[in-house]
Amino acid sequence: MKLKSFIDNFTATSLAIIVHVVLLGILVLSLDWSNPASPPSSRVEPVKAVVVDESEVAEEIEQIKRREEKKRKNEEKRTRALEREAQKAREQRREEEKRLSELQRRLAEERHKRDDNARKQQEEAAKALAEIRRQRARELEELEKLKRQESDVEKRRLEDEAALAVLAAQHKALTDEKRKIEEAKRRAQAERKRVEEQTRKAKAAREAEQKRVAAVAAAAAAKAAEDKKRKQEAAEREAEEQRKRAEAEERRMEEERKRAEAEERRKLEEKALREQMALEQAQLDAQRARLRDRNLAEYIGQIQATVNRNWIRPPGATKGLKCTVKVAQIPGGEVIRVVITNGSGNVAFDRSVENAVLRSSPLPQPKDPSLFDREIKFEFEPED
Amino acid sequence: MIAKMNRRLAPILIAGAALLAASWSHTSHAELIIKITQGIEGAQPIAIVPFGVRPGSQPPPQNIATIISNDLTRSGRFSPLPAGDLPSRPSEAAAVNFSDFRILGTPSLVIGKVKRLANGRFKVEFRLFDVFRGVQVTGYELDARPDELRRIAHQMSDIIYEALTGERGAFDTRIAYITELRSGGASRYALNVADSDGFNPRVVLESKAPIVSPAWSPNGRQLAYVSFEGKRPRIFAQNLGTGTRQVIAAFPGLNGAPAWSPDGKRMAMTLSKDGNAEIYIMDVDTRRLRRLTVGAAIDTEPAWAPDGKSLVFTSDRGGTPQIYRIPATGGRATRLTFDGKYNSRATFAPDGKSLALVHGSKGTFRTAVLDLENNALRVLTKTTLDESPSFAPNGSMILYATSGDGGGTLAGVSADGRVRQELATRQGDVREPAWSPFRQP
Repeated sequence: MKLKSFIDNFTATSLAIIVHVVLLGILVLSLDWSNPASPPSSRVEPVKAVVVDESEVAEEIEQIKRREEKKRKNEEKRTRALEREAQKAREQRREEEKRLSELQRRLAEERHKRDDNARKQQEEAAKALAEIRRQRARELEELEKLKRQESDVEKRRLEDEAALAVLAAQHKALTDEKRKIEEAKRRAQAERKRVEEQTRKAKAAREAEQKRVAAVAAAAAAKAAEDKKRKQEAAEREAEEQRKRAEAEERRMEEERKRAEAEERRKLEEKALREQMALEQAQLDAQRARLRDRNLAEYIGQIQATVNRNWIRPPGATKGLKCTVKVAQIPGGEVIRVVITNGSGNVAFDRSVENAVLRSSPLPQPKDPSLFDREIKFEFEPED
Repeated sequence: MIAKMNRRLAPILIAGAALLAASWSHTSHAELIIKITQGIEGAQPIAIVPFGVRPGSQPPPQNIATIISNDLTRSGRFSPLPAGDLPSRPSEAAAVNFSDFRILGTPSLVIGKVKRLANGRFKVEFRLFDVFRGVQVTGYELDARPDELRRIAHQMSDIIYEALTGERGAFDTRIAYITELRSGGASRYALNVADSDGFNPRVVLESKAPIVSPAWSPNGRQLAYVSFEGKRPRIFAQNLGTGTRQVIAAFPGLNGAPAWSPDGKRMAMTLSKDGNAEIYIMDVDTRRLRRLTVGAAIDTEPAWAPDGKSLVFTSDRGGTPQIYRIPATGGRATRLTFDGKYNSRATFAPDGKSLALVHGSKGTFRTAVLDLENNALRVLTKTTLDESPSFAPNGSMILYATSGDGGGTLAGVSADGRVRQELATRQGDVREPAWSPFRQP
């Protein structure tokens, strides 16, 4: 009955085999067809053989072969993809490195900024590093996941293998050509071994890759640590320099303050000196002004005496008459012009005034030449 | 007769003045102000250079410069430089060296020249310079007969006087006066008219009877006087040009002290026709009389105020002769003089602000001036027997008669009393001078 259902379900069975083989091909990373076929397994139990068309089996085997080939190619593709992924990871790292160097550059740029800024930057760098580490961890996790998935595949493969063994046994039982079946079995076995080998190799490659990745990660970490250390050192140096600069600034400020104090003292002294000088100048000026006043009074007195002597008032009532004249003189006292600015209305009186000034020419000269004025105003007004 | 010369000089003077004003206007106010309150009251120095005569030609009969010099001196306002002190004697404007006269402190300079013309007339040119400014003040050229030369000189004096004092000169005016010549117990009286300096005397009327109280008509063409011809005093008015005369007042008793009103239409006089000497005003044309004063006292010697609205007169109504003032329309007389026991013969100054009068005190009679504004009486003369003071028409001088060694003489005193001098006339006993009004053209 079981056999009958098998036959009934031959197509389905064939399909199942194909599927399993494809799955197996997907799982196997590399297949080495050049390896000599190992002898067929003696553990295969004889099964109730059913005659099947040999050409069918051959075709089927051919198909399997083709599928294996396809699987192999896929596996190769996958390996290349993995390699590309690794490459991508490397590139990513390089990019990270680039980013780190960019950060470094920026840090370097911002070195002149305050300490806390630097610290912040360091923290940021640390954060970035942590992020990188986290990313790296995520990548590792990803790899772990991949590994887990692989082991799942392996499990399923093993299950499939068992099914295949059943199928092979059934197949052997069914075929006349046990040898061929055996061969098929052997080949299947060899195939399995090869797959195993391939799996192992893949595993080894994976492990190597993992190791390599780990090494890279370690290297990156080391580098990061190194970078961190360098940065820390740089930061420390920066801090040191900052401190030194601050000290220098403080010293400079102190000197500045001392200089300012000295300047202030100097200014105060200068101010005191100036005030003293101004006081002396004022005293001198006052003295000069007194002398000038005395000279002026003397000058005016001399002019008055001269003009009075030369003023011949017209006889008769001149009381109440007043005549103002503007007199222009040149250095030396020579009168060059007399103009009545406010006449008395009495022609004779006004004329006598003009003549008095003109007769007085040249007018007396002041002792102090600065008292000389080109213009003098005279007010003629008889007292009696 | 007079050709104005300064007309063509005027633009130059004006231009010069404008230039002075322009250069002056932008200057700032004088900082130094000096008050002059003393000075010396006195005559203004003036240099009058003898007028030039063409060399070889006969000198003119009159010394023009001397006449001018005497005129100006007599006014008391000017003090001409003695001829001997003149530093130079230019007669042409171009020859004037102003610095010569500046050194002397002489502000004014008069030069001129006389030229005898072929027709016997003279051409006289004169220029007045402002020495300190070096400019001509005025200048004229006048043409005259030989007998007009003195008058020409007086006219020049007037021009100079007016140019330098601003007041009209009164040199070209006349004086009237009475002379008495005694010979062999008999006296001859004469009414004379002479130039203001006493020169050129001319007898207007001669009489054996006394002539008194000459009075000029306002236009200067007539003289009124009192003549005792026919043994009784009568008032006559005589035309000086024609010599004709007419009786103005011949009332019973005293007819005396005629005085023309300023408008010449009326004459104030003293009449005793009503028994007592009173002041009357006659309308000259109608001869109608109006009595001005009433009372038992003697009222005489009326004199018109320049505005014709009032008169002053002498009255003894207060016990002694004093001056009173009364409106021309009549009414109450008010006494003006209170100084001393004798004040008489008052006459108004041309400006109406003062009176000249004879002030008697302790046996002397002197010319005095009463200031009508403050009633101050100021004696001007030192002579002892002055009479008949008379103002020059410009008010600058007072002419009066006084008793000298040979009898009465004419004397003049400046209105301020500063300059006194006798006039040149020596024609016996001179009395009652009267100064003419300004000449009318």
